[in-house]
Amino acid sequence: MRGTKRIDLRFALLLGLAAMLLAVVALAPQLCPHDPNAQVFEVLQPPSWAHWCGTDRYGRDLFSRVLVGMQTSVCSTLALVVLITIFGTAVGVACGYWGGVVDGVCMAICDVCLAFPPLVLALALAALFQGGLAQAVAALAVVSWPKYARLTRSQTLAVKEADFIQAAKLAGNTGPQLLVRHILPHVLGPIVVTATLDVGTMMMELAGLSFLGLGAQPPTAELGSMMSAGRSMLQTHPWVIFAPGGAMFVAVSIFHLLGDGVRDHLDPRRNIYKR
Amino acid sequence: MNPVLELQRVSKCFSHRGKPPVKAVQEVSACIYPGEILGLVGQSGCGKSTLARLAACLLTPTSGSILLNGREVTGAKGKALREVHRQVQMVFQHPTASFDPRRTLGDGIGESLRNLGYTKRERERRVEELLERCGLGAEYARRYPHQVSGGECQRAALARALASKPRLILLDEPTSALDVWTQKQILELLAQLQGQEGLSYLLISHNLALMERVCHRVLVMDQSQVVEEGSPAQVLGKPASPAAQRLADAAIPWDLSDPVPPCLP
Repeated sequence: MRGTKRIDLRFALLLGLAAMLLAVVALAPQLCPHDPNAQVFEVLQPPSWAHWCGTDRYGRDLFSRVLVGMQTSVCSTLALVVLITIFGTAVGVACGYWGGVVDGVCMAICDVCLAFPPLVLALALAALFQGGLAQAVAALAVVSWPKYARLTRSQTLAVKEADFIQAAKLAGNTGPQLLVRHILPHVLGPIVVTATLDVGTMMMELAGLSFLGLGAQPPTAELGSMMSAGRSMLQTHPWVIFAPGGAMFVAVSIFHLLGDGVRDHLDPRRNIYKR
Repeated sequence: MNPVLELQRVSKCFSHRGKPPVKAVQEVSACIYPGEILGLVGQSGCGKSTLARLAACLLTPTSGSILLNGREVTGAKGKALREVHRQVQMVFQHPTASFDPRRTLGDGIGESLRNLGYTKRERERRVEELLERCGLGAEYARRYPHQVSGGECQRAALARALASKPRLILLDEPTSALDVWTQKQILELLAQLQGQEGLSYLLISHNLALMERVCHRVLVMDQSQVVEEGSPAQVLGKPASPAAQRLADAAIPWDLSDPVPPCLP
C-alpha cells in the first residue's frame, strides 16, 4: 500500500508541474516583461535583474523570448501529438476491425514509413515542404502516425475475438457502436501512455527541425531556432543558448516523467491490489 | 410443427493465407423445434462451438442455409441480423469473459434493451426484474464481472440472454467452467426458465449424464460432421456410430474391480 501511495504522490506532483507548465504557456504573452520581438536593448547583456536571461545579439529580452518560444513549441507539439493520436488510432482500429484490402494497403504504407529512420524522413519531407513550423509539424505527423496505427491495430485484433465482443454483437450493436462502446475503451490505455511519452520526444524532434532551419522561421520565437541562433556564441555568451536549452530540458523532462507516471497508473498489475 | 431454427447442409471452412483450409463444419443439417432442448455432444475441436456460432449468425457459412422461423437468414446484415439476434441468444462457456470488464453487469444485460429503444428507466426496471428471475438481487446490476463469482456471472449471462425475449438460446458449455454445486443450480434455473417461457435450447456439453437427463434429442458430432441423431437413451445407451460409442465408453465409471494402486508412503 505504501508503494501505491508513493506513486500517487509522485503522479500528483507531476500532474501539478505539467498543469503549471501549461498555465505558463497559455499566459506567456501576459507574463512577458518585455516585447519579445522589440530590438531595443543593449545587445548580448548577461543575465541581470533587468533581464533575467540576458539579451540576444539583436538586443531582444531573452526571458520574454523563451516564454513565447515555449508557447510556440508546446502548442505545436500538443497539436502534433493530438493529430497523430487521433488519426493513427482511427486507422488502426478500422484496419484491425474490418481488415481486408484497406488493411493491407494501410499496413503497407505504415511499413514503408517505419522502414526509414523517422527523423531522416521528417527532414526530407520538411525540406520538400520548404520549411515553416506548420510544415515541420506536417512532416513529423507523416512519419509518426504509423506507430499508433500499428499499436491500435494489434490491440483491436486481440480484443475483437473476445467473448464479450461476440456477446455485444448479439446485443444488437452495429459495427460503429461496437467500436466506440467496446473496442476503443480497451485499446485506449496503451495509446494514452504512448501519446504522453511522445509529447517530450516530439518536442525534441520539432525543435531539432527548427534547429536545422526547417521549422519556425525568424523572427518567430521557438526554442529550437533560438538555440540554433545562439550556437556560435556558446563559448562567449553561453546564456543565449542555455536559456532556451534549459526551458526545453525542463519541459521535456516534465512530459517524459508524466508519461512514465501515466504508464504506472494504467498498469493493470498495479490495479489488481486495489480491488 | 415448424422448427424455430433449421440448418440445411451448412458448412464452414476457415482459410488463412499460406495455410491449408480448416473444415470446421461439413454439411450439417439439423432442426430445433419450439420448446425443445437439443443436445450437441462431441470431442473437443469437432466443430460444436463453430456450429453454435453459425446458428447465432455470428459466422457466415461457406455453403448451406440457415432458416429462422422458416425464413432464410444466411449472411443476414444490418436490421435483419439484429432481428435474428433478438430471437436467438447465446450463453458462453466462460461467464466472466463474456462480459465487458469495463462495464457493469447491468450495462451488459441492458445493452440489447438500449438497442431496442427502451428508455433508461424502463431498462433499469427490466434489468432488475431479469436479475431477480435469475436468482440475483438488483444490486448485482452495479457490480463488475470481476466482483462476482463464476456462478453469479453465469446467472447474469442468462439474464442478458433473456433480455430481448428470444425464442432460442444457444448454450455453449454453460456449466463446464463451474463447480458441481453451481452447475446443478444453473441447470435447475435453465429448466425452470424453459418451462416458464417455452424456450428452445441448443445445449452443447461434454457431460453425457446431463444430456441424458435434460435433452429431448441429441446430436453427436465427429470430425466436423453430425454422425448420429436420436433420443438420449438411444444415442448414449445403444450408440450406433463409433464416435458415440467412444463417448459412451468414456462416460462409464471406471471398473473398480481392478485393485486400486496403493498410496505412496
